[in-house]
Amino acid sequence: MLILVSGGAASGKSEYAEKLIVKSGFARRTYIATMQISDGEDERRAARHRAMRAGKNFDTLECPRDLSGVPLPQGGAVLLECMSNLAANEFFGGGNREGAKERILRGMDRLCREAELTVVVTNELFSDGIRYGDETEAYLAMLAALNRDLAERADAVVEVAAGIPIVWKGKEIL
Amino acid sequence: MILVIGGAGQGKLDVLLRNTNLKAEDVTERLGEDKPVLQHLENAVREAIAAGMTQEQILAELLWHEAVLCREVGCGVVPVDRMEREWRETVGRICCKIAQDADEVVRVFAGMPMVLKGERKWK
Repeated sequence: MLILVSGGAASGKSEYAEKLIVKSGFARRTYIATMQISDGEDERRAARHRAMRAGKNFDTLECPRDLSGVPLPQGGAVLLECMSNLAANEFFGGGNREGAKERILRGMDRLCREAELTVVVTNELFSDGIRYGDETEAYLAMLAALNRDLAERADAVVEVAAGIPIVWKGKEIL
Repeated sequence: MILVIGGAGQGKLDVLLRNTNLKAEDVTERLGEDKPVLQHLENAVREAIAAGMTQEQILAELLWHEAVLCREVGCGVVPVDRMEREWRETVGRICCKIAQDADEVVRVFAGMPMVLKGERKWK
């Protein structure tokens, strides 16, 4: 089962996604962290997330890119956070840009086969009305397309605003 | 407490006034002013951060209002400027906290309310 959770910055989407994993009852819980830590601000952000996960029995896997290659445990629940970082690392990380989206989707397909529940946190980056440079626009287009593809595959899609879930798809399974 | 969120120009205040007994003269945009309604929380937070206030201090100034209105500002590319990131983050976190305490949370889109929390039927 795949659940996609989206929302703006500081909307409460991570906390909601973690609740979904805990509520699922799976004892094996894997957290796939995609952020590359580059400064103190990143470190504080990661520390905040670690504190939120503390006591919830997650094993953490670092996966800034190459989702297909991450050593996955079989079964259980997986929380991937977040798609916007993974997409940025794949897109800006020096590899083949044209294939970035397909690489991620292949990794997602494998994840969904191996895990019984996959929750993916993505990001709503598309409503600030700013025209960015070509590179950033291409990244945004890729992430938006990924979000659409994942939403289509997902059993449930939830947008979080002010910490409150707005269900776009799959109300019956949440 | 009522929290009303939504994009710019969506009609948050109109929806609030239409559905409550609150009046235009009840509205302020300044943190700490003795009025039932605080609108443009996003701007008040920017000024409060500039004045050195923490998230907790800002929250403490807010929770007595009958209604708070806030533009959703988190749905864009992560800003390059550190202060912009901090502002966006603080606005989002404060909205999550207010929403937890609030009796009603409403999101406005094109003048239409979507009730996220509470029993009342909003028009």
